[in-house]
Amino acid sequence: MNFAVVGLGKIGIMHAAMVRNVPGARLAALVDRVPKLGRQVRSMMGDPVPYFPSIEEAHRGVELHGAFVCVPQFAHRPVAEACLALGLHVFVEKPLCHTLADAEALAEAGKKHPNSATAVGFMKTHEGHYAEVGRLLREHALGPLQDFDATCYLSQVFAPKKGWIYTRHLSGGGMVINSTCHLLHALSRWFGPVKALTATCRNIHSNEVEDEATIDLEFAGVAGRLHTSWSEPGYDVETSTVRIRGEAGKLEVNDSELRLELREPRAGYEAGAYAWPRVAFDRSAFNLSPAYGGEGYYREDADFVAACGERRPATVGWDEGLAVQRVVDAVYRSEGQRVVLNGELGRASAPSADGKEDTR
Amino acid sequence: MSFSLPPCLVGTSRVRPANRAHFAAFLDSFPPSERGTLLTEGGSWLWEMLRANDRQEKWDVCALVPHVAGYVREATDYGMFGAGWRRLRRIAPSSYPRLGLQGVRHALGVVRRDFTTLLMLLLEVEMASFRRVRPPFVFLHPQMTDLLVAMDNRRAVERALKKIRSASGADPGLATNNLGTLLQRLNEWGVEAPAVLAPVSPYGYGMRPSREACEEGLRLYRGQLVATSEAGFDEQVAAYWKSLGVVSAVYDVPEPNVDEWQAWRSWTLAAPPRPVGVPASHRD
Repeated sequence: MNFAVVGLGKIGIMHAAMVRNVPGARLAALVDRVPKLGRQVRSMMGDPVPYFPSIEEAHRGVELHGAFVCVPQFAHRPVAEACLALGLHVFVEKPLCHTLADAEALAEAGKKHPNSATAVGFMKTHEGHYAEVGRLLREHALGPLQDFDATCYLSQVFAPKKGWIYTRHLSGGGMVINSTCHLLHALSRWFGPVKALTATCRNIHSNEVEDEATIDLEFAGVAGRLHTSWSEPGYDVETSTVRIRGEAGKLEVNDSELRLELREPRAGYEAGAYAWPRVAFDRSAFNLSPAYGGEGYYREDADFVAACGERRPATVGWDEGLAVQRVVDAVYRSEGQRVVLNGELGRASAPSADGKEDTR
Repeated sequence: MSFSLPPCLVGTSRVRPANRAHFAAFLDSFPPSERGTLLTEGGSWLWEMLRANDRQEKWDVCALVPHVAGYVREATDYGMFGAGWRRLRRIAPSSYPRLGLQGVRHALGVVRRDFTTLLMLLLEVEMASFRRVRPPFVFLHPQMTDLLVAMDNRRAVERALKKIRSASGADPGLATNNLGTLLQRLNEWGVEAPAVLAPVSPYGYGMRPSREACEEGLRLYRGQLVATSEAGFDEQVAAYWKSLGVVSAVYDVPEPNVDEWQAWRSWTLAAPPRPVGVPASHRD
């Protein structure tokens, strides 16, 4: 199947490299509004693929079956809708959109094109050691859950910065929507939809977007705290850590290993303490960068390509992207107040000034 | 240059800023009569550390270039190519003459921001920072090697190997996290890499696309194989390395200690102690 990569920034280049190495996929077109980027990315390739300034022109120029939308998130909706209108399968990088309104509109648009597979790039879910945590929780390895705590850190912002990422009306926010959304999705995969949250966001260096946030999350069976910052020294690479405690044991998963302690035999393990390197769970056939989530990127692309070929939903569809968007939106609206989320996809509602639920 | 790689190199890629004092103590814990070899991306912290306590006299340095982590971080704000050009603009004045020559030679590529031209200039800049330690081996960073392999860019791989040799006099190598695919491409391209550095594990950990494909590629490969292992090692790992003709292994952990290092570097001789775990979900 033939795919285009739309948006030739860092992530677009990464997907272009991945698609060339996923069985069943062929990179057929590079798309970006800026011709210079097209020339640059073509110069990386031994056998350059054609460049086009728009997905419409690419569709006219080469046979396409799907597209990876890797433009900045403020352009996700128009570009993804254009891809849908052309009858393409559509993968959208995370977050689904920069605003909840756009995410809701895009999810609706996706439903109107049932023949198009749709996916969103929450790649942690595709990483083997995160999948193993999911298996352990599904098999109740830890017994009834008691609590969890999580962190997500990156050393990226230590002074005011310019660019769309740091401009709220373009990015939708700072660390939470740009990076922590991966972890919010993984937690939702493990624990189910977020029922309620209380969050405080802080600007340390940035003028328009948050640099750090503390989020108390309530799920159906467990509650815990997530602290996140992109202004934390010592984290060249985005680093997430989750500790989960249950009555029968506890586990810790981070970007390099999974540790498990069981008080009794469960989920295929004897009682005792275990530590596995992340690579023990890595089943990617190609990995551009183990330190930067390369396994997740490969497997999400391979899953999307397989979904297109098999005409099945992708593992992480736009409905899940919308659910995470609602959580992110609630984080930004919380301002220290508890926000209740309900509905089948975690539709957000919050107490209004008069105490009645204000569904948005 | 002919340099025999020792059975074990000490890697620095996992040494976090908070662990640097510990790492310095590890470097000092060797008997004065022994020499060790580091495998590193460099960085001002490392140069300062090696200058102190005469450590430079006790440690040889093999290089891993370019320093991809720095580019990836900057690429978030400036794009992949923008990050590379920002790095070039920060070079030391002492490197201007040599780089100026390269810039003129590749003026058209520079103007067009051709990727291969940019990569060659970055290699030149980064190897300049290693010049004073005269690395006997210089490996292309795995993320760069694998990007070129993914993009099927034979020309850039060939030019990188030549550039490393011409700019540093070192033996060039390719580091990779996709050993099977790399060896297949090298074979198809007819490109010879004197050394390859990659994960090698009897459990298949990190051997992509599969352990079998990597073994198949190694049967045809005539260069030196340097092994990494994220999962520690045990008797089986040592035996596997021996069976594949591994010449050197990289001990790369966040907090190295001498006892563990002594066990690692004895992999060619005896059975080391640390067992490797296999998850229940992946047992046969």
